[in-house]
Amino acid sequence: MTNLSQMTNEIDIDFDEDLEQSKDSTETSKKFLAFISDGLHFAIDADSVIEIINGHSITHLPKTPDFIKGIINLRGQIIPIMDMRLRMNRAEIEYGREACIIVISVDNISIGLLVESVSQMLDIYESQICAPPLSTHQDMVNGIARINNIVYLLLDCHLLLGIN
Amino acid sequence: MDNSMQNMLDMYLYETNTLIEQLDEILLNAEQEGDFSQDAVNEIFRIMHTIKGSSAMMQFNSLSALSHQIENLFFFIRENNINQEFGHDLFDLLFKASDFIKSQVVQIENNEPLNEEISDLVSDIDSFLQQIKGKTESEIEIQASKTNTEVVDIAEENQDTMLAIKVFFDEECGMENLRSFMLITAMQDVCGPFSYDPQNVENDPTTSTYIIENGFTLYFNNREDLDAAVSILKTSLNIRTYEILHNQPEEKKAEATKNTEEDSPSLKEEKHSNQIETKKAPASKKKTEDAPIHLSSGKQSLISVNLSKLDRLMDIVGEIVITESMVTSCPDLQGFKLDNFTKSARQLRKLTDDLQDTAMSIRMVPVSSVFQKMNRIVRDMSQALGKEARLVSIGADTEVDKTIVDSIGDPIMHMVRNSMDHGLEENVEERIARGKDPQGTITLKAEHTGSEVIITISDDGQGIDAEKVLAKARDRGLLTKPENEYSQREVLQLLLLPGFSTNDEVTEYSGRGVGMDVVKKNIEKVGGIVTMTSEEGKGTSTIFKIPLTLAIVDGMEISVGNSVFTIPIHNIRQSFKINEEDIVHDAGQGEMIRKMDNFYPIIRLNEFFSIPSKSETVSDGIMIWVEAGEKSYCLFVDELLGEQQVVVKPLPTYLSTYNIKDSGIAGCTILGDGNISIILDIINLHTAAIGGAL
Repeated sequence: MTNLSQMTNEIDIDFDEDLEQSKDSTETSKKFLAFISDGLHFAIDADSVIEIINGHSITHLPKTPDFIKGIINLRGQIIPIMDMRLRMNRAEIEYGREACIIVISVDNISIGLLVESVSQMLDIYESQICAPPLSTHQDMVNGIARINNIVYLLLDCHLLLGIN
Repeated sequence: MDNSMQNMLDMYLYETNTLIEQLDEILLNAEQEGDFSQDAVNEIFRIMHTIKGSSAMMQFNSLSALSHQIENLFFFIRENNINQEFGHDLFDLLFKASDFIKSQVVQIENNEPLNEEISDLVSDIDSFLQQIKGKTESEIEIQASKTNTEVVDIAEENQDTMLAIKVFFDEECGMENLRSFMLITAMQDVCGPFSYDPQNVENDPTTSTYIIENGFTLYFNNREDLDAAVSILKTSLNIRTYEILHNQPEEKKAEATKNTEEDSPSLKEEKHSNQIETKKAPASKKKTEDAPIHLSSGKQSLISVNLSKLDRLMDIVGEIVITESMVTSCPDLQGFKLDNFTKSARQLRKLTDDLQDTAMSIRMVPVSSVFQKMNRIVRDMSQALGKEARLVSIGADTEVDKTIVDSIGDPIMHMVRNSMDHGLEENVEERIARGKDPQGTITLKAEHTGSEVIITISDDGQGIDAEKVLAKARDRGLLTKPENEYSQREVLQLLLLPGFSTNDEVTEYSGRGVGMDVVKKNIEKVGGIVTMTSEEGKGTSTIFKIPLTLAIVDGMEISVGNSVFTIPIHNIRQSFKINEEDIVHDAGQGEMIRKMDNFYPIIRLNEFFSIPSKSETVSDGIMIWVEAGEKSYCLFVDELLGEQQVVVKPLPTYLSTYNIKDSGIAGCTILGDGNISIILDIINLHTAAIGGAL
């Protein structure tokens, strides 16, 4: 639990610093949380991220799709966990120490995303975002941005959860 | 809107909603009795007064103006009693007004602008007031002189002199000129001709400053008018003080006039200490009025708390309970002899148990608030449809979780409307011909059965015509198998499909074919089920079975592989060990076991949930004979872990898209060690594993 709170604190601080910077620029930027799953760099809108946790034991829940790893008890709240690798139809692996769960909340639905590692907070300007090619099989990505020579796939939470 | 403003608005909405509910209740009771009791009149007067006050404070002017009119009306009624013949019009008028206020409150809730157009209603009330006044004009005279305030005795000898009241408004209440004007309008209704200073308050905002400094002065011709005006002042808002001034050239009570006698010769400024009555404005009066009424109305709403705070409280309490058992059963303590620790730990456990019980009971509210609203619907519809009906409610004090109360309101309303519209016979003759009471009865019933609350809405109407339902379903293309294969039960389930409505005409109340499936959806949202029963000619019942969320269930913890499941104890009949040869195979791939001369199917939980089992043979595991409703079968599991009281938590909303409810999972619970156990739904598990057939 201490690790967790430290972690969230750090992220909060990052938020503040970045906010200061963005004030100078005229173009609006958005905060994204970058993470890695199956070697791909993803970025998720920081507004929907509640917290990042690790070390929770996941209870398997039968009769759900494979990519629902199970449920966890987050301070009395039951939260389903979605394995990003399995969501992308990749093979299941044993996650290492770096692995963590990004808890997001979209339209009052809370869900945890199990990812290989969380890398950093990003400021992404609208001009940096390109639309994904139509033929893409990434049915949950709504934009692509290239920052510091890394290509980030911007995750659409609604598509990810299959709502609307 | 800043936070304190939002809080105020929340309070306002809560208060106004509660008051309007009370108002409806009073009106319905009074209508049934055909007359207003003195208490009812006073109560309505008080309700309107409070709404007027708080609306003015929140600057919802239309609401305050309307409630002001009604207040006036009831002021009149209180003083003069209303003639019986106006009863009907009065009720209609009041219901209309209460509906208007309700709709406005909804608009406020939705952050929509208010409907300022209230002149129709206000003039309705006005003309009504004039009408009843005409009837009782002579009584006014008598009545007015009877209003015995302490003012009367003092000024009895001053009948002929010019009387004046000087009014001071609360500091910084704003719009003093308009407030003065409101006073004038209010007084015009009850007083004879009078004049006031400054003039032109209605149109000239600059008079405000004058009023702030010098007060607003009203001049009356006689004592009665003054008294009437005083009573208006007493009930008006934002009035800091008022003074009654008498213009008395010859001072009679010289002994009392010590210092202020020769102050000022001017008419309005002349003050005499013995004749000045300075009263605290209604604030204090209101308080004393409020207290006893709150007691008498018997409401339990002593404090209103934001529901999210209670949710939070519940979560924290849950955490404490878990943490407590983590501490007391900490592995580091194993093997030590800790007498004092054990003692304190036991004390702690007792306290946390109490805490948990209390926290849960806070969230429980009686369903009566929902039931009471239905009275109004039955009343309105029986008038609109010309059907006589009454509403009987049973078990209105049944307590359920607040979230359930909130979500059953609409479904119950739909069903009551359906019963009124389709359920009850079109006309009284039909009912009499069937030997029924001409007045239809709609019954609302709530009861607890262990882990569920059951709400039944039934009517004694014509029942559902199965043929008609089938024909309709055929027209709509809703049938999935030949008509003659539908059982009565299945026919009734057709009614719950989207787009089904047997009424050919769309009425104001029902017939759009959206009612029933919405009912079903709403009830399913809180984990409940809807069933209907109907007997032709006798009536229809709709039953909502809703699990008590947050309810404590006595559960048996069992394990399969690494997973832990909870089976509600009341579903368990027996547990026993078996050998491979005890299993009987049927023609399919099913397995059965013989128990007490009956054969029961076996469900292997590991196979059904695709979990690797720890038991290699049947004899390693254990059989649990479970029973729920009409279903009885055996579950094969690895191990019994023990009995535990658990708090049922619903599964996350996201997962409801996968219909796991239908696969025999009722919810989950958090165990003492913080791990999650999945609660099994014995009925659904059977349906999912074996199929609907018995």
